[in-house]
Amino acid sequence: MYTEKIVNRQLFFFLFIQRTTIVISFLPALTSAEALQDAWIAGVLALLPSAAMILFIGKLAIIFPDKSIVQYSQELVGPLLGKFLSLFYLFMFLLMAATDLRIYAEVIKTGFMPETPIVVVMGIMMLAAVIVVYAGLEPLGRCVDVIFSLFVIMLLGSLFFSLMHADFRNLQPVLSKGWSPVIMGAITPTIISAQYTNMVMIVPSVDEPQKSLRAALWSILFSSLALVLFCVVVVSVLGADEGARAAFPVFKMIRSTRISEFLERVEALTILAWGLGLFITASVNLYSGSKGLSQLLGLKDNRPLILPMSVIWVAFGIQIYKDYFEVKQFFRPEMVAPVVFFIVLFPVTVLWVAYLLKRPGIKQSRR
Amino acid sequence: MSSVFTLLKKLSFPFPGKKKKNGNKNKKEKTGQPVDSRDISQREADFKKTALVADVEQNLHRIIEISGNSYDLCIRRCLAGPEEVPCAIVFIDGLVKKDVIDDLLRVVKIDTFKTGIKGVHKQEIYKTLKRRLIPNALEEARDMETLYNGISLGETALLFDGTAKAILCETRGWITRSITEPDAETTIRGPREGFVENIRTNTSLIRRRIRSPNLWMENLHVGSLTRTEVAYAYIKGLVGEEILEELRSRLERIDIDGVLESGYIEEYIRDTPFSLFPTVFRTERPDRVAAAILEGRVAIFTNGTPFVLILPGDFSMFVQAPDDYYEVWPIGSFIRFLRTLAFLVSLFLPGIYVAVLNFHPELLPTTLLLTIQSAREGVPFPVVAEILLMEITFEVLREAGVRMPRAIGSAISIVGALILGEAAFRAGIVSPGVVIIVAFTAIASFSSPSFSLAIAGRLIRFLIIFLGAAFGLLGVQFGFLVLLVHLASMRSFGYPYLAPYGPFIWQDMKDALVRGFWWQMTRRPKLLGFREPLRQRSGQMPRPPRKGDQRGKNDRKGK
Amino acid sequence: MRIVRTENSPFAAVLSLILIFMILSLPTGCWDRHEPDVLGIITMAAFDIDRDSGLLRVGVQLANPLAGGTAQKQQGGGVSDRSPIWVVEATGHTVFEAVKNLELLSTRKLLWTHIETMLFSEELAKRGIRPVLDFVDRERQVRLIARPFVVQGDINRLLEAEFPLEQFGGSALIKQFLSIQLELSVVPEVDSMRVLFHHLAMPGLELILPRAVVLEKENNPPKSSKINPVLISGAAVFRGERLVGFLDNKETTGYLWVTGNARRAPLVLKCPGSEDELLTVEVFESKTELRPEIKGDKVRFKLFVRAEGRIQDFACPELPVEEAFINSLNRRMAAVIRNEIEMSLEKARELGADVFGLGNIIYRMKPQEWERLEGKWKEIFPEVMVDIEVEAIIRRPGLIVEPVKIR
Repeated sequence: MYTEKIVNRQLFFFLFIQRTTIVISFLPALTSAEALQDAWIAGVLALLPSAAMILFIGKLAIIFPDKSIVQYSQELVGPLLGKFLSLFYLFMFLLMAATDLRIYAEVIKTGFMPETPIVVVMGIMMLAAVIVVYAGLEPLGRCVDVIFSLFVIMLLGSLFFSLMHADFRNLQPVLSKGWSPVIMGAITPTIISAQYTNMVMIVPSVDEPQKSLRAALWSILFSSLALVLFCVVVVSVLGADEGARAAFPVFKMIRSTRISEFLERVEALTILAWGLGLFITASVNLYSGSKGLSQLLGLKDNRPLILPMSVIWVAFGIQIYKDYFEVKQFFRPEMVAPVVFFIVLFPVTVLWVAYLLKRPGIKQSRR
Repeated sequence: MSSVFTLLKKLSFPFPGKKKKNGNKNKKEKTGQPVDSRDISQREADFKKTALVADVEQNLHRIIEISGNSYDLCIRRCLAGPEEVPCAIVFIDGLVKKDVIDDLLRVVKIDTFKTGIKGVHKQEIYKTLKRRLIPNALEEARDMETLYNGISLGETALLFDGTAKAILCETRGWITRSITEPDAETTIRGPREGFVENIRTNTSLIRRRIRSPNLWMENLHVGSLTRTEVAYAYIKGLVGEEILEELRSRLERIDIDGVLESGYIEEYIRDTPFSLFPTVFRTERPDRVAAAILEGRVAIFTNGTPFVLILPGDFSMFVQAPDDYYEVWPIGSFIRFLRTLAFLVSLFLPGIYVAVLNFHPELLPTTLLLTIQSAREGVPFPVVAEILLMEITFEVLREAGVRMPRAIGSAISIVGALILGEAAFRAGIVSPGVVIIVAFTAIASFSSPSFSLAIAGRLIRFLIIFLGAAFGLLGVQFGFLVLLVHLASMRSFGYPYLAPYGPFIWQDMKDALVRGFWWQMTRRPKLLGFREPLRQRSGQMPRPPRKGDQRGKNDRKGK
Repeated sequence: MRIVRTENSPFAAVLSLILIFMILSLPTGCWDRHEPDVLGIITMAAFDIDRDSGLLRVGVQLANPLAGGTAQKQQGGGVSDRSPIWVVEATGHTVFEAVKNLELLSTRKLLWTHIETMLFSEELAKRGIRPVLDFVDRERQVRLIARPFVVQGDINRLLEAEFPLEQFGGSALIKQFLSIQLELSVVPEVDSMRVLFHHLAMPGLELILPRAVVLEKENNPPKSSKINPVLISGAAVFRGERLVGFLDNKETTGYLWVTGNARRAPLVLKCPGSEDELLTVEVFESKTELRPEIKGDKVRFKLFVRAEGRIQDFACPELPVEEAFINSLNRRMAAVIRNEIEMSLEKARELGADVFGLGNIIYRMKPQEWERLEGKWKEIFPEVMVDIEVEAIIRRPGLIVEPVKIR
């Protein structure tokens, strides 16, 4: 059977776009709510723990380059426990895709189309994701190649337009309230790196899996750069207070820019970048989820699962959060940190322990 | 009455079989007349089975029987040699050169009497003529099929009494259109040659451009009745063997009665047959074909049409025009970029217009929105209906313009531009904004160098309008994404359709959205020319002579 | 390269799905769809307090699509007799209630996305603008690129006024504001609601807005008016959300010197030597530095202003090209600038509003000190000493050096 292969560049794009999408939607608000004008420092601080988390998750995936987590967890801790542990991950994909979709729908509903039902917005995006996942991982990789440049150009464009109004004095005073709010502000961006768990499903399809970890680390570096840039620009354009007050700061920022009497109202750029990013996020998660589930159920093909799964995911995205406030609440450090730490890090820790105990045996069996 | 009966019978037995044959026999016996009512496939099969015999008259009789003594079939009987061996010349009038036929007759009638030539007796005359006397003898036919194939290509068959074979002589020569610049693909700068309907002329145009012996051309016949010559050309050792293998198998699979245009072939061999987007490129320009072959692609020539197919065809090929390569690179890059943009505009502009005006008026600058709004006052339709009305009007207009005889073509433009555009706008049926949008979209779609890509855009545009009218920019974005996924999932003979954008290939970007310098294009397209990536020596940028430069020294000496 | 015959075409498989989806959604969909001809586009909004009831009053000026535009010109051929603008007013307990009440009187759905100008009446500003601001920041249709003005005089007259050269009041005010900002330096640089919100939230900085003065209504009807109905000059000073007073032109220029935003300020000087004659210098470049010095509760600021100018008119008898004379010109110019700065400082002290953002400078540069001072800044600010040092240089005389000679 023909196996689909992507390259590390595409993996890099996947991860970068995924993280940056959520950064530009929500994150400056989250960090600056705690850290105000020092939000960018929080962004920088988040880099190291995120990288550590990625190493922790990704290294295990690299050790089994041709197996997904569903497969190697069964090898490490036995079929029953292994299946149980990989369920955590499948739930994580569901949670991430549903949350991202919901945020996007909230933005559209708040800022663009207040009367359109949320299920329509989420349904349209999910349908696009269904189509590409149905086509397979390779077309998804080609899509991300095209989308990445558009995405970056649009983001740079919106940054550039906003910079016209930037007043960098708003970033002063630096660290006026000490380190603790900054560290609190760094927690959520770190937690968002849980999105990199997609690696555990995609690495088996990568051409050179040994270099995947490097791609992931580069992507966390660049997406952290994007986070810092956006923090700086949002704070210097809107001010720390307005940035913290706004429901969607980047959106608010780009809406209130005016380059000239004619060149104004450029937020379509950001919203489009956002939509493209969400498309990639939703489809990567849908791919990972359906692939994982098909392996869990022992199916040869993940295609039959895609459509029913997507319907369930949209419904989940609508049901899990009652309103905007719950979405925002979910991203508060004290809410999101325990949930994600448990779902993401607990299974990997178990697997690491099992691996370290079993290692000699596995090496022999490989030879 | 009986004819009605046969008609019914034919209808009930669409495929000829044994039963039918028996029926025919019965008929013959009943009427007593040789009414030949075999069906076409039966006739073809019978014809192929027929072999030549040693008797000229019998052979000729069979030829007449098979071809129904067609009006353009010419048979000249004569006697050859001292023994006056009966022989015949068979050819089809209009396909041959008359003077070559005269030469041939002279050889048969006169040269066989020349002294010193041996073996002009009944048994040997055939061999002698074939070996010695006829300069343009091609091959010999032992059966009717070969013979008829030959004469239908303009060859002449020579039949001799006593030999169950025929000599086929090269006497081709018919009137073809001269080589002119193709109307549909004009350039400002570049060769003025275009393909014609004759396959030999077409292949020669390529051979004249690529003189390497490694330019290989293979051929086959497609079509059970038309027996159209189809040839494919490629550079051996450069093109991927998998592509060739795949092409051969796809071509051989074709089972059709007739091929009148390369479009027939295209539909049989293309990937993703349901897609609106063309995956096989077609052109009338030999320079484009040569360029494609040099990249490692394959060209398919079809007899009877000037349109040559090139495969694999990818998206960026369809927005390239030959001028890009002949003009200086900045303008080449600029117009190519503009063309890609124009294609996107022709797809999305009306949809975006509808979406923005209906859903997101906040995206328009104040003055623009006010102008559009006040221009729209009193227009009785919603924006979607208005734009659909104008788009459909324009599509009809365009079709009428193509179908009209050229003499009244200008009338169409007057009716279209003045009466429909100006009057509809003055009467307040449509607003000027919509007229501008539709006109600009149309111009953008005309700017596409490939008609087959533009027509894909024409249909998709309507889908985007619907999406934009239903969901605003969200719908347009959805349309874009589905389109992107569709394009990204397509391959043409294994070559990704969106390359080099997706998969992103940096080294090929020099010839995608922009056109790099010629001396910069040191590598062939990565996925096509992978057998030998290097195309030319690098570092050929022209520089002023430096010290120690041989060329520079000579220049100075010359001074 | 791999040869794949035809990949799993998602198109064929999912196409039917999309079609069903679209067919289902077309009749039920189109939730946010509005044809342009049901929209009334607001270009200017005015917030006021109703004198009789004390309720909030919102007035909006809409662009009349039947008046302007190409269609009218094409059909009518001449200038339409319809007014280019249309005004709706309504009152309510809250801004949003008033905004919704506007629809009672309007034939069209009001579109707030294209507001160019926001006007606050003097009465409202004195009572506090917070109830209006929250609506402005929260409502999705309103954009923060609108420009705020405080209107002194009859706000309704401004709302209904027609400008001789412009179509709509909204854009007319902006054009007037921009040209004044470019040519005169007598309006504060707050040019959008975004800056307004920013200033309100910043610690140690009071809001200052440009002032629009409505000229007294003459007896002739507004239709034939050939006079611009509004004058933009000076600034409205807030303390918190409340208006406390106005700066006149000179004081505003002084304010701009301190904040470093004076662009083109004309300065009238007396001629050295002959005190009856006057000359005018136009500043074309300026630079401001402001440094705090804190000793306990005593705060001092060092203000350094450097201005470069050119002579624009010169009615003095002669212009000797010698250092002493030019220096005396420079000194006079510096004195005028210093005078303007002192006037504005004095006014600000009097109003008790730190419009210069002196506290904000402390907040940025010395956040620890600010934490200590923040509570008592109201008391400290009037006592703050500012050491002004002005360096004024006249760089060039224009096209002629010597003044015009008359026998």
